[in-house]
Amino acid sequence: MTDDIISATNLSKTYKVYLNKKGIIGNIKNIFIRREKINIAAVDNISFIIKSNSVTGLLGPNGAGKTTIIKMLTGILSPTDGTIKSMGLNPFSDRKKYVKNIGVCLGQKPQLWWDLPVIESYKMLSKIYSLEEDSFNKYLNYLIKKWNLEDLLFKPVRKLSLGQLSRCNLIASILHKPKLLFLDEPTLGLDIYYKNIFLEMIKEIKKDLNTTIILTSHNLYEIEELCNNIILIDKGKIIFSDTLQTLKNMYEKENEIILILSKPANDFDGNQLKEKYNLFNIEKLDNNSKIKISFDKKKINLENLISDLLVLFKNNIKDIVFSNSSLEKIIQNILIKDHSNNIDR
Amino acid sequence: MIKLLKNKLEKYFSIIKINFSKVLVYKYSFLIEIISLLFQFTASVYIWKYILENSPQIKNYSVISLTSYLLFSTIIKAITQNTTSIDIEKDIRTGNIYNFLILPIDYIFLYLFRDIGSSLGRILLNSWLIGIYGLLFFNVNIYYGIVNYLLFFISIVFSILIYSEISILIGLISFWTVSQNGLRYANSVISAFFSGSLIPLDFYPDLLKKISLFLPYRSIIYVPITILQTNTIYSNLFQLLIQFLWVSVLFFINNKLKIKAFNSLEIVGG
Repeated sequence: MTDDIISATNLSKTYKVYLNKKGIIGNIKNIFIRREKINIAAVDNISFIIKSNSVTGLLGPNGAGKTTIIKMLTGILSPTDGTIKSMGLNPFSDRKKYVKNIGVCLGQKPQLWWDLPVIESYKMLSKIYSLEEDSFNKYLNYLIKKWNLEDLLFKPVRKLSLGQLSRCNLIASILHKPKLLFLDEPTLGLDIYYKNIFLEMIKEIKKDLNTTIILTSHNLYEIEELCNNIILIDKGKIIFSDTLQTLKNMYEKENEIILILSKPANDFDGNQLKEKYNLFNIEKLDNNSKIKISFDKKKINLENLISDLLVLFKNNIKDIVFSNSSLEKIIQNILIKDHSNNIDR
Repeated sequence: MIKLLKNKLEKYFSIIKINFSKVLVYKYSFLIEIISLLFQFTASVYIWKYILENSPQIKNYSVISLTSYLLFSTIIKAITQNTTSIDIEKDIRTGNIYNFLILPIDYIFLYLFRDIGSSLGRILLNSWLIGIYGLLFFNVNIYYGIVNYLLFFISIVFSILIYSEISILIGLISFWTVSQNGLRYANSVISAFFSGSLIPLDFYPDLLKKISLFLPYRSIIYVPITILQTNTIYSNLFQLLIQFLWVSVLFFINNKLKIKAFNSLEIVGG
């Protein structure tokens, strides 16, 4: 099944912002004089398709328009222009019908009732979604056992730690087995341990429910772990939209080898090597005890380079570290390029 | 069809239940609320006792009937109180409203049933304590007919709904103004004045009485107590009808306002 679950065409959203005059006199003027209004385009004429059963990562710097897009896709905001069709419905005008089939998990704003035990919130949600009691209980028990939530169920939500809260919150968003799951920065503020548990949970949920997931995150490790599609947004426009692998193939040019030496190589001169293999750079780090070599894997003979290095630093190599350019670096490069293009214009 | 209705009822019943239990969680806060209400009640009873020292009656009210009026007024105040306008404002200001909009639930119904739930909690926790306090320390008349009490309870349900709807209305206005402290303050003052919570509306000059007829506040406190103290069934049913009309009118206004508000919703950031 590779149907499109969401298709958005020429989507735009502009916010009206009032310009306030500054200072005390300005503030007094604000009371009496109609303030100047300006329109800010948060999302600017974008079109995209999300395939069912995919995990799509919505990426972009702060203020790029990710959250606005998510809000339009969840039916909270009406687009200023353009149309969204999601599961055959218009999210905004068919909101009541639409939200029954989606789950939303916001990292910043937990859905659980602050004053009551977790289980009460779950029960309430089951009623709100009009779930069958037996199958709900069965599914809840399954989730509780699977993710060791027994101890947390009867604690008031306000007494949970952030790690516990975010796990309970994720569970809350999938109780009704949504076909479409939105995760808006779900791991915000979590430590590495809980982050990994959380990622594991998302993977399992995907397997269990066969849902389509749309994820926004600043954490690129997460995106790399979970997503197969990526939509990269900056300043309300899409600058890249394809699979993660394509992104890597297109932009992954820089690979690195770091040699860690046992004795500092003070008299080593990398220029010869650099010319021979057409390397990007050779750097000496940490008082000449580390050597960083960066190159394009596709353009050189890696085997020869390594054997040359082994000969050059014979009996002096403590460790060799290989690294591909990280997704972070790739995206950083795309964004920087995009920004400089904008300045040119 | 029946199943659909059952699901709907269960949905809203669960909101009532969860807010009922919330009242019980914060029982101490509610007890403090009663104590402050009792102070208010006691102070106003002594003021009236002083005023009525030399004259047996004002406008058909004796010390006993005024004390009874104030007691019931305090009880209704204790029951109908809510924090809805503040909560809706907070929902909007913090963007928490997002969490409600992603649920298959009506935002106005959510708050209406929430207030019913917490009012039930307050009936259980507060109202009888106030009643006992009044009976123990003051000379009051609580002996009315069963029919009166029956209509009184129906009337109180309407009071809860009307007060809740006014609060929702004020809350919804913060979609445009973001902060509504001024409005909330004005509402509490006007409400105290026109609902008859301080003194029976009979004491006002004719003009103010006429104005009160065109405001929903009258239905919150004055009407239920009148129903309790009046024996003409037709007039009582008529008062209930007026309360019902206010419930419907406010509901209609809130719904229109909600649709307008959601269309212009701009939760910037977060």
